[in-house]
Amino acid sequence: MNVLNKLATVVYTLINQPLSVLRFLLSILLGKNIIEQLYFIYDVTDNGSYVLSKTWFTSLLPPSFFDFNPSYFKTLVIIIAVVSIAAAIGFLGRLNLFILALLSFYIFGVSEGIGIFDHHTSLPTQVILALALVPGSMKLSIDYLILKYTYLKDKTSYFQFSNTPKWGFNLILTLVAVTYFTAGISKLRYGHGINWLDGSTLGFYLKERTYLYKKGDVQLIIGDSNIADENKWKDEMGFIGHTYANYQTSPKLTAIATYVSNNKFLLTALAIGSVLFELLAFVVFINSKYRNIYLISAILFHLSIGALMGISFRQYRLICLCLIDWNLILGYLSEKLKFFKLLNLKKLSTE
Amino acid sequence: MKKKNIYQTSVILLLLIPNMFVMLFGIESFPYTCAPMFGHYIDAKTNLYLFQFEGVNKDKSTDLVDYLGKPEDFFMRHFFSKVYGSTHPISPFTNKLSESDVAFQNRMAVFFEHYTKVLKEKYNLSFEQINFKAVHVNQDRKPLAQPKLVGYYNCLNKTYVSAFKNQLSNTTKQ
Repeated sequence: MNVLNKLATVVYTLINQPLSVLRFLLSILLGKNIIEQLYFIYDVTDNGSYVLSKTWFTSLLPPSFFDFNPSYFKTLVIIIAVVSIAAAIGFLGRLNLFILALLSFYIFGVSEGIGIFDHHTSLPTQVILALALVPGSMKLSIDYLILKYTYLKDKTSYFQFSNTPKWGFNLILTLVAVTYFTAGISKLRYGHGINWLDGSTLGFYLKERTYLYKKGDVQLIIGDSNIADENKWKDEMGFIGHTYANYQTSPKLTAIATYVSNNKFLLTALAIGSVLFELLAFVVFINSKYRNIYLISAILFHLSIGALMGISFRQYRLICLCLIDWNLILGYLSEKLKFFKLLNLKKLSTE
Repeated sequence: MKKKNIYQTSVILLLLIPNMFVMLFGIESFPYTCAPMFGHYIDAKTNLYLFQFEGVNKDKSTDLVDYLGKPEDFFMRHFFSKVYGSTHPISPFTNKLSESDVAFQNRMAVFFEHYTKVLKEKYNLSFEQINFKAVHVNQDRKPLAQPKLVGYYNCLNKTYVSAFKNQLSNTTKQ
């Protein structure tokens, strides 16, 4: 029973401190991604910056930040690793979260300058920045521990927390909702209005096998033959965009993707479902039930994209997982299952 | 209490305003994005192209695919998004808020100046001219037509010349 009580305390603490759990896991994942990106930057022959390769953030940095001299590599990796771990465990947590966000702005900014905007890390970087600034992200941290037993001289248990304002949690939820909503708007805005819903764009990407092509045949550029001649001034093809890649290499999963891409009904349903899902992002604010349904759908959405297109969005899934109202789920389970009843979890909704 | 409210409002605005800005203007610059992934339309009738770059010295031309300095997809996406730009006035593939002939010519010159420097410093290659071509292909990358010259960069006088514009002005003159 004692063990069960302890287990209940740990579970209760974790589910009621979602921003601290998110801080711990996301800092580690983002730090790892930044280091991997640094390896890539050092591998590229032309990683030098020039005026057209800069983002709004990297254009603020002095030229020395673009000198990727091999002798700096180890130092940079150590800095990123130390900052990520310190941010994760919450040692000088807010400062390290802030530095981690800036490191991400910097390294992924350089990577965007080389050629590709990393959409996997755009939302996680903003969430890390938010965690550095909002209340509630440092409750489970070394900093809080030190503060509690030294400055505050609080004799109560570590697991007793004062109430945290909800705006920090809601702000991070807003960042998630805005990201999905914007993706839905972009499909309608640039995808020939509701034509995107016919599923042909999705079908194209499900059929795409980017890894098959030799150097020189990889990157497709889209031309718009409907552009009137008087509106063409750079070229006669009317180039309007580049395609994205499908990185899935598993034969079984590509076979499923091919099946879906050949089924018009499924494709249309998936296209409509995707856009509706994205446009309905703000339902997360109706109540915890809607929030949970939406966030679980988001995780499934990313898992299916990962399976069919090889794009994992692991960090998005982690963010969604941490923002779920686990009290609601455990409350439901404790009503239905004996084991959860024994845990006697107290309710503290993050709604 | 008042200080807390000011702080809260400042943090909310700091995090949300850039997102609203990129969403409204349909641009992206890390980490702010209008989330353009798959935000375009492709069907069976859509024209697809591969870009090619070719260094030219007198009668000899060299395919530059092995001398891009970075993976091909990075090179082409950078070239398209940050340098060449979309024909559409609003494009999710860019960080530009506006477009003009002067700005386009300037970007092309800046890009090719940087690229010719990379060719010289990293590969010890120099050319009189760099041709920029496009090949019309299908999704399986099978060519549907011969490569077409889109334009060329004159490395001596450091200017980009659009083949289409030349053709247009010649037609007008005739």
